[in-house]
Amino acid sequence: MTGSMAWTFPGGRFEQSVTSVTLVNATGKIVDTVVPAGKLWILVSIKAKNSDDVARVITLYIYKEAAKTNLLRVLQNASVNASALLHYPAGAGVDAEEQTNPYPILAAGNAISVQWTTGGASTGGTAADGLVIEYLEVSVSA
Amino acid sequence: MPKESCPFCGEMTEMLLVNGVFKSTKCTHCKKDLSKLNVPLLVEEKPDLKAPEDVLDEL
Repeated sequence: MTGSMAWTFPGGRFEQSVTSVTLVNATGKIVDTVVPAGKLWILVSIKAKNSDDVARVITLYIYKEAAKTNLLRVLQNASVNASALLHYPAGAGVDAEEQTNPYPILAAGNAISVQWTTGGASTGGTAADGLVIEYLEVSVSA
Repeated sequence: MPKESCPFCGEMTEMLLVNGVFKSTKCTHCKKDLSKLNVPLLVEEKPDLKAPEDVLDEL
C-alpha cells in the first residue's frame, strides 16, 4: 500500500477492575485476580487500600498460575498506614523489583495476588474500592 | 473473576460482580455470607468547605 500508513493501537481494551475489600480484626486478607484464558494483559496500575485502623503490610505478587506455585514477581511491598493507599507503579518497597518495566505483560493463567498481612487488634473495615486494577486486555490465539 | 480469602475458613472463594464492583458473597467452602460481615465502612474524609462561625467577618 504505497503512499498510505495505518496507525494501529496494539494495547487492546482498557479495563478498570474494582473490588470491594473487607479487612477483619487481626486477620490477613488475600484477593487473587487471574488473567482469563485466551487473553493477555498489559498491567497499567494497581491501587490497594488499607481500610483498617491499624497499619498493614500490603504486597502485590504476580504468580504464573492460579494455584500460586511459581512466583514471577513481587511488584510492590510496603507498610501502609490506616486508611492509606498503596500504588503501583510507584517507588518499590523492600523485596520488590525495580520498576524498570512498570507495565508488565501477563499471560493467560497468571495471577495477580494482593495480600494484606494482619495488623493486630483492630476494628477492621470495608473499602468499596479497596482494590483497583487497571489493565489493557488483548485477545490472543493459542 | 477475583477470589478472596474467607476470614472464617481461610479458603479462597469467588466474588460477585454487582454494578461493576466485585463484592463479597457466600463462601463456597464454609457457606458463611461474607457480605454480612460487621465491620465499619471506610468513608473518605470530605473537606469542610464552610468556614466555622466567627472566622469570617460579615460582608
